[in-house]
Amino acid sequence: MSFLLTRLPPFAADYSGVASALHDLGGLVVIHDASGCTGSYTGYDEPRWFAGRASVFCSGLRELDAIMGNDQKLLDNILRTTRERDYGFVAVVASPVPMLVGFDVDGFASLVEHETGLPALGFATTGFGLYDRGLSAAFLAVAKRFVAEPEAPPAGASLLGASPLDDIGPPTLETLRRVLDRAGLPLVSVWGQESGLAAIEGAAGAAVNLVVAASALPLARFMKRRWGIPFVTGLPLDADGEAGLAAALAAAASGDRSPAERTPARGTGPAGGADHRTVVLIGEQIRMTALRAALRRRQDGSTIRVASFFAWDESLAEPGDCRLADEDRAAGWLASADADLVAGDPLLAALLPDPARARFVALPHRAVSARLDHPAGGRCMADPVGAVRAALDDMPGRTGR
Amino acid sequence: MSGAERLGAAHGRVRIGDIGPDAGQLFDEGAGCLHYCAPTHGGWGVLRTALLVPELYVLFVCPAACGRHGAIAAFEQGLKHRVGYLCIEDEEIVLGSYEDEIRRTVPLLMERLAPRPKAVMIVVSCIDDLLGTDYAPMVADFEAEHGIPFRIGRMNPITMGSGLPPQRRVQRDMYDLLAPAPARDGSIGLIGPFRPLAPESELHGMLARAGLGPIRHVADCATFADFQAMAAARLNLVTRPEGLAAAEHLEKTLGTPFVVAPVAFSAETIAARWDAIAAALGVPLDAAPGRDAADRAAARAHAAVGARTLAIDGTATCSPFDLARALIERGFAVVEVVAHQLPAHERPAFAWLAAHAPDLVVSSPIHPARSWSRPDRPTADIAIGFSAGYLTAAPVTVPISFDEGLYGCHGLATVLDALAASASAARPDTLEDMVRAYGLVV
Repeated sequence: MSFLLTRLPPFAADYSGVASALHDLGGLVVIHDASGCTGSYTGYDEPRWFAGRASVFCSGLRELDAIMGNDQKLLDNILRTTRERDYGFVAVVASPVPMLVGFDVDGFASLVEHETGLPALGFATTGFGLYDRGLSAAFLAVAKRFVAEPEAPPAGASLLGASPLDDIGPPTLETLRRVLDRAGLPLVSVWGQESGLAAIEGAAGAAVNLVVAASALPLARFMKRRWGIPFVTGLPLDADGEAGLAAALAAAASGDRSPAERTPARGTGPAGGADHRTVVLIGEQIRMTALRAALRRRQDGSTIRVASFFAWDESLAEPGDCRLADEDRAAGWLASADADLVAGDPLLAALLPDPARARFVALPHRAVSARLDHPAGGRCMADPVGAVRAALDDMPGRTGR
Repeated sequence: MSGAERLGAAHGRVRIGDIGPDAGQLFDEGAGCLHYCAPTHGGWGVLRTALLVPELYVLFVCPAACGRHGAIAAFEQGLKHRVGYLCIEDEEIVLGSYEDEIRRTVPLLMERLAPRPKAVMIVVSCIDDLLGTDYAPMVADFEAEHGIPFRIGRMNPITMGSGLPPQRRVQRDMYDLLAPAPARDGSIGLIGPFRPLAPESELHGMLARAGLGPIRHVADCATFADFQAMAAARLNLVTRPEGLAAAEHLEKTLGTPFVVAPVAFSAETIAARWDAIAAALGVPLDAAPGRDAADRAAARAHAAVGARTLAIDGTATCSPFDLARALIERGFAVVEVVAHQLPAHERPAFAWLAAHAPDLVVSSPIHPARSWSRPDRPTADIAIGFSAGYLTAAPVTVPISFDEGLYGCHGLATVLDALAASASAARPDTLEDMVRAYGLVV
């Protein structure tokens, strides 16, 4: 069903998710489009692009080639490029026009593999899906194709879903490493950035996986089914969160499965009370669930609801949480939520029914606002728990804690 | 072997002296290679260009993904309130309800928009080229219902390399909103560039001395009614290729003659442009006052630049080869031109450079090798234009883009003064900051 956007931008697309997941893996990634799709990814969604040298290229699709089904030009250009530079694999990422003309991306990938001798992956992305779907597809494809069977007893942990599109950057990775150290778990691989194919190939040897974004849950479940690796979901946003996550990881790695596969220390807060507030957190589900847990540790009785336009897992949701569909329906849901405070990407403030009534805390999300500068949001992202707490404390009738 | 094939074999980088007399279009439009999108890739984009028309609202009808870059750029430029997106889904394409969705949405949109736009452009994307939608009845219905002009625009990069790529088509569709004027005046319509001519340009005075003017540009128009005054032009002056289809269209629809006189920098080419404009107007033009200003600016730039080497980018101007010629003629050390195509108006400058500066390197900004072989150490000291700055790793980039405000001797003087300012800056802005500030649109 079509939908109208007059206040928000379209969000990062499925092909951006695929390209982002593959960015650091040392492959040749070809987005099969005319230029706009690749440009959206490189110029808007990918923060690593300015300083990087990753081989994500545009196929330069033209009208006549699409109409006539001239895939030979694309094949020739891929062959030429793989002769000029060493790659670990080739990925062909489709876009709206290939979808419309029925381009067989899997079949084409098989042809590329045959002709180049390199592993080749095809992604039937369309530009209709969102980035989280692309991330999930790429993570799964890479796992199925490149992860080797373990040859040693399980040890260490992998980070799944560490995508810059979900604002996982170097500071967050540093915190995540600290959590693993605290749990006594060596880092095996990072899925989403940083790790190359060599690290990814060893991912089946991990004793536990830490899932930091819901887009990686399909990967985590695949790795559990295939190699029996338990997983924990969560993101450390404060000291207590780090400790809780480390404990959950250590327990899961040692075979105690009870606290695993769910966010550790969700925390609860008593409803009602004199300073009861309704807080809505909009964003990546695992990040916002972790933020809710951190806020609940202050035991102030607020009702905290999580909502997201993106990957959504009911096992992480609570009653009152909501997967948002589009701009109009999201605005309607926000109006019905009657929130005192909303936190999310700064562009989402345009959805507030009455900006004068609800406080808004800016937590920029790359998949929403891309390269837009949000200086205040940058500060909030460094300490989202502190930012939301400060906003709550600053509300009328509220005493600081 | 054609020039293009030879260039392709050389990873899109070659001495101009090695290309030979048949350069073709330089690099093939398809490039014979995958395309690299440098972080400096982009320009004004279809949306930002269309929104130069005051009081116009743009409704994109496309898969959500196709609208993302334009929407983010619209936020950057403060234009988001003038654009909406009808994001269609695959089943609507398959089931053929695509048009129904537009008919359902436009009335809803018109109810929401305040202030009410004076015109609406419905912009469709690449996929519509393959669907063959007939919009004429729908547009007629919308115009009858809402009492304002509706037009169909296209953001369809899949047609790049055709006779009507998106950058040209959008200008044609914008100027199609001009209704016939009651009478012609002495004004000149400036078609193609994204910014008006600088007020200090000698062309204003040249025309005034001939009893003509003003020079009107769409960005000078505050209202849709002001924009309509462009229909009264005596002549349309096309100074960038993006305006060609619009000028041809206006000649057909309004009878306005046009002259194609692209931005130039060398004395010989500037003189040829003045001659072409004078011939089109049927009056003599006196260009003498502008030359002294360029000479003085050249002296200032020489003092600041010294012996440092320069690279020139095809996004800085539509005439990078003529700019290279102008600078070399004035004693500057130009070592590289970053350009993918060689339009017809650049062939004389290209031939001059091949004869007089054969070691000049020409490089394609989109060849994949630009990505993996991007130098760690600068291959030029100063770059004019963002892509040249990025691809040569020059420590200084002169932020000249898309000929904005440039024309004639004053245009050259502007470039030279910008060059002097950047070359003498104690702490030049970083390229990334400059690119972000400019807000390039894919």
